[in-house]
Amino acid sequence: MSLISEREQVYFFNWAKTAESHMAEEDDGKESYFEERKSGKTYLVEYIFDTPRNMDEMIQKLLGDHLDENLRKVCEVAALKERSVRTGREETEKQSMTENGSEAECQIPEFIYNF
Amino acid sequence: MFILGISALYHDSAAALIKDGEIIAAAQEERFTRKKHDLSVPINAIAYCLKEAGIDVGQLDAVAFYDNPILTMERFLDNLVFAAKTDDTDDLMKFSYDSIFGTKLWIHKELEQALGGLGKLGKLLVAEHHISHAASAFYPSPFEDAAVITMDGVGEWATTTIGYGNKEDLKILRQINYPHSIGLLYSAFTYFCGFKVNSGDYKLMGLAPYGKPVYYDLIKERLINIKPDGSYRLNLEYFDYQYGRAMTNEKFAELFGGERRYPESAITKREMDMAASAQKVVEEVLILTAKTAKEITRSKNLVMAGGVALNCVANGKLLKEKIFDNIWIQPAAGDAGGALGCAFYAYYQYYGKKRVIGISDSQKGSYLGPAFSDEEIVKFLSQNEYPYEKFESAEMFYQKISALLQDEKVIGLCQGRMEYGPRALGNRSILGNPRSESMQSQINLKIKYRESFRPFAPSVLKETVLDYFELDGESPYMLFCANVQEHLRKEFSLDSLLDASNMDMLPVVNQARSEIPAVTHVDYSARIQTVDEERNPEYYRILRQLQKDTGYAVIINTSFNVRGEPIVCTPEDAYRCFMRTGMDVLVLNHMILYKEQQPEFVEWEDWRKSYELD
Repeated sequence: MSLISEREQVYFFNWAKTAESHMAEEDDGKESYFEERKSGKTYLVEYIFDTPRNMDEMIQKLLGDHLDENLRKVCEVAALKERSVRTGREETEKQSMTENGSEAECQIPEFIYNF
Repeated sequence: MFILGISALYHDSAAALIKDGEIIAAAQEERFTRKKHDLSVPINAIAYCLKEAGIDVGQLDAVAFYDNPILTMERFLDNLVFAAKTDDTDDLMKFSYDSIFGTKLWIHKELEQALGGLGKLGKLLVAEHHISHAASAFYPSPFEDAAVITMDGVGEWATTTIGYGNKEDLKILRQINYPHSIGLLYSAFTYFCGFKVNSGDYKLMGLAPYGKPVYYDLIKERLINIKPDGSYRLNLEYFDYQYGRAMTNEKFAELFGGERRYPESAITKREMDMAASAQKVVEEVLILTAKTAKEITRSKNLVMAGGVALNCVANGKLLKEKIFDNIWIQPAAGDAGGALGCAFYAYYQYYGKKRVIGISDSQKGSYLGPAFSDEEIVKFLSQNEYPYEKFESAEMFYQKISALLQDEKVIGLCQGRMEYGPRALGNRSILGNPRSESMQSQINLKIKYRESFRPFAPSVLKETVLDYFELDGESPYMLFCANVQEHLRKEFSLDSLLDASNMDMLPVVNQARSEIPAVTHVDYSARIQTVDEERNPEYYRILRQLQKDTGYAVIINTSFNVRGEPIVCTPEDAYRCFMRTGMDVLVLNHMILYKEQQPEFVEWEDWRKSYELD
């Protein structure tokens, strides 16, 4: 049985295939840098994300074969980090939302843009 | 059919509620929590929207969110790959990982828990970030069809889009993706000039007229490659945001002759010139993109949203180009407006409803937040024994306000429904006399406690706008800049004044530039709000009375807050701000409070410490 939904697999595989191409910065002689949106694209979805308990395995499994040693290191860090986030989350899931919702989890320093 | 739209977790969380395609309520969370640009799940704004409609969560047909976290995660992972090439992923992991994997991906759970359910649908509808912006601009606009431009820092992948809306249909046709972003380029200059990323962008815009665009060629040569159709690529060697760190790096600093300006330190000619140069680049990209949008869509109408659409100077230049016959910009153009956009998009696209287009826009003047009745205000004032004057005759009330303004009193006005979006439009505003030469620095330094160089905006009767400003049309949401009419201008040499004052901007600000100096910027421009009776009858009547008494139908309108504080929401917020500052008069609906009559206002802690400087 797959660890993640089919749709999420598609997202990850697409990402893995195109990851390198997003960071080109030289003027490659193109007339335009606008990208055309494909027709039929769905801009709105019923949101499903219910399989993050296997996030670390998912990241390594999907990306391990595609990318180099550096990325594998990143994935290892990501997996460790994810486990700690998950553990922390399981503890806090039992508590009700505080008045400020998820504020504590998403504080971003003022000098960077909150992506 | 009720649909609740929500934006959260990035900048300016907000909630918006529509019923059968009509906007019922919308508000930013910061106004309730009193934390500027609050990004938390907007539980207070949601509660307000439901209360305004008199419904509970179970009666919502759907709940929509304005950004797709899975796509955001995808971009984050992509960024990790990029950073991993140089073994430089620490800051990305430190600053972004938890917020994405710990919070953003779980938004459906967060909201379900906060709301106690997700309405009748039982699922969260998630719209893409830029379709939410596009929808917020197109659906409330008065146009059957329109070209749509959205520009911001980044939303999932997209940073700039061109789209087309026709009746209910709305599509994105072209887009530019992260890491290439005109919004992030502008934010990089904001950061380098010592202002806060995101919230300080409008300061950079206000600083630009003091400088000259001497770095324009350098920026185009080294930082951004702009194509004739307005599309662009950034040279990422000069930026650090892709590593999850500061916006710019050492190479950027070398290019501009040294380290960034330290926040709150003196502003030098370099920052003025950098601001002018960045502004010119943004204007060029916007105008070229608009030409492309026109070519692709052939529409005579344009609508815009996204943070860059709040750049009213660029908007004013675009208007003058006359590429489109009509332009409408979502007043809550930043992320807060995404709440409204995703709700609209769900209504028209998920549920397939028909769109009814009015003669005017359906934004209701953007007065979409809480209002307080006379009874509630009297109760608040009486309980606290705050003396006030109540006017039974509306005419006498307007005459009194006019007299106070003529007497150069500074008035805090809190009446009607609070504005949705970053601009105060006469319901949560500080008013002053624009003909006073000292008013700009007086309000900046003694009331708003903000930088002296920052200009104030004028509100003007819509039917008289051409008497004062070179604006052919309306600007009800303060989103277009235009010059003061020539016959009102006074001779003014910016360069000489700056030289004489050793780049100190205060003497420059105090030098009259027109008959309405407090709302005339150093390049004779003004960020105009046209006021009409339909959108805001109360504010309109104040201006009408002033015109009758003085011959001038112009007023200073700046947001009712101090630096770093969200705009006031309740009468209590308004009273607190009034007493903490040098404001002379507070107006709550038709009740007037005079500072000298108020009891001593004691606070045990220095309130300045409660607001982080923006």
